[in-house]
Amino acid sequence: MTESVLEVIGVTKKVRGRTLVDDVSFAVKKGEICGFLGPNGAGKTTLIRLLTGLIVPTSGELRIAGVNVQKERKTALGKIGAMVESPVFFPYLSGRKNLLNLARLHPELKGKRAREERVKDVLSLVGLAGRGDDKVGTYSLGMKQRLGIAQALLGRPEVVILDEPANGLDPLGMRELRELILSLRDQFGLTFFVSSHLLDELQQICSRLVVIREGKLLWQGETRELVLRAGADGRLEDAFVELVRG
Amino acid sequence: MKGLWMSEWLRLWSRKRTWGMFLMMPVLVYAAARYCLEQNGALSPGMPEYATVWNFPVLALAEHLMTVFNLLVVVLLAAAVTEEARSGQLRFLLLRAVTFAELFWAKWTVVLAAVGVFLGAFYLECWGIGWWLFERTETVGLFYREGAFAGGEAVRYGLAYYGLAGLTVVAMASVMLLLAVMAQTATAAVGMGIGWLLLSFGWPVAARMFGAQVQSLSITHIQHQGIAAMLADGRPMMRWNLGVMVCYVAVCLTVGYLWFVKRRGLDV
Ligand SMILES: Nc1ncnc2c1ncn2[C@@H]1O[C@H](COP(=O)(O)OP(=O)(O)O)[C@@H](O)[C@H]1O
Ligand SMILES: [Mg+2]
Repeated sequence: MTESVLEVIGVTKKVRGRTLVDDVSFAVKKGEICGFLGPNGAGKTTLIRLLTGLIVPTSGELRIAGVNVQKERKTALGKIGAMVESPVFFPYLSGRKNLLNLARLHPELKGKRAREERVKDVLSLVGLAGRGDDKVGTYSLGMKQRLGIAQALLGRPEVVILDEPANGLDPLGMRELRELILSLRDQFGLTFFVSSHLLDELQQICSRLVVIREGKLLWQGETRELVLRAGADGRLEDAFVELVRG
Repeated sequence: MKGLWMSEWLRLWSRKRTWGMFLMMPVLVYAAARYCLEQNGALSPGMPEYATVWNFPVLALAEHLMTVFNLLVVVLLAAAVTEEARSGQLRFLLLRAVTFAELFWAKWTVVLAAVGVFLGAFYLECWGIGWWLFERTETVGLFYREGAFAGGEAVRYGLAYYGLAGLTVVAMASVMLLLAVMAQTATAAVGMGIGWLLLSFGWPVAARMFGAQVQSLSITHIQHQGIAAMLADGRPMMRWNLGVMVCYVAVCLTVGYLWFVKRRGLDV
């Protein structure tokens, strides 16, 4: 049995009387690419904020590699690399300088040499080696998304959490993103938790899906189960829409 | 923590805006020197306002402290706190085993350190430009002090003046930090900061009939008159003014800290 590296246990988040996440539970196993689906406003970003310790749950528990995110925030965060909502970098710095600046917050990257090496590595992993010295202000959306993934990889995480990384990408950019995620999983055995409001962006690479709507867990399971649900000739998209409509 | 501090510090100094303001300093010192030279024509040597090599750093700072250094902290804090929090840039830091509390203190101390560098540079530039433009008189007069003083004594006075001026800027910065934490946009933070400055300018006029202590509740009033009064013979205003500044720092930092740590969780 493979261990769960990401566990959400009965998590509820209320803000000013509104329930944004309602008693959600699921788990993601090591090496899985898990899609996190739901229409806009479903609570995906809120749950990802909870997972990354940016906000605390009203009740319930979140664990990364067995570590409670609220009780041992620093240890838990050391195991995650994340991008929450569209990445906002420091526009007056180049891509490389942005990463070097963030690399200072990783105590395990000791010294200038170690930081420079790591930044060079993650830039080439995401295919930005040639553009690292340009100001982020000049980057296309796709490049910013890739830089967002690069910063998530800085600390050699076990789990990578990406919030709508495909948002605004053209079909080619989308394909590159999928290939990047697959290759990172295959090279480093990373676990991915990737949100999206569109099924077809993710379905090809995700082995597992978690679907939420209005803060409630609608469905979770293996992608092929959803395929089965759709029937022999039904489209996956139809099954998904049906699920989300309720 | 050291890594966080360095990342904040380097980011502050990688902005053109910071360097632009830094490079403006010698220009301001030079402008103050020209003004003092003109004034000297109407004054007699030995008066405290009469500029010499020895007291020029104090006269130049008195000229620029209230406007330049106060605006400097407004701009630096709006960029470091409001802009980064509201744009979502802080998220990248907070996703890396950094707490809101650490971030708050890092930003506060980085801005104070930067102001220290500005003040130090301003002091040295005053010596450079003053050495070139002013006389090295035997003695010099000091505000609210009886007698004539040797150059060395004037230099010690100047250092004390700069120290107290630095404290007034810290007090002002704590108010500006609170405003920067509460503001929704960087522009609003700057606007609120300038509003506070105008209020501070107006207060001593409105409170004139209540005397120096009530007037000195305004930090700019302390900057304008209070520092010289604190260093006058007998140090009459020293305890009161220090108390006022400590209160500003204690109240604004506490409220700002709680606001940042408790409320910001919803925004990042
Ligand atoms: N800080 C907040 N305060 C109140 N409501 C919020 C806050 N953040 C998000 N919401 C609301 O929570 C719901 C879920 O938002 P979000 O998690 O961003 O959804 P998604 O990422 O799936 O589009 C939305 O209705 C949104 O308006
Ligand atoms: Mg979202």
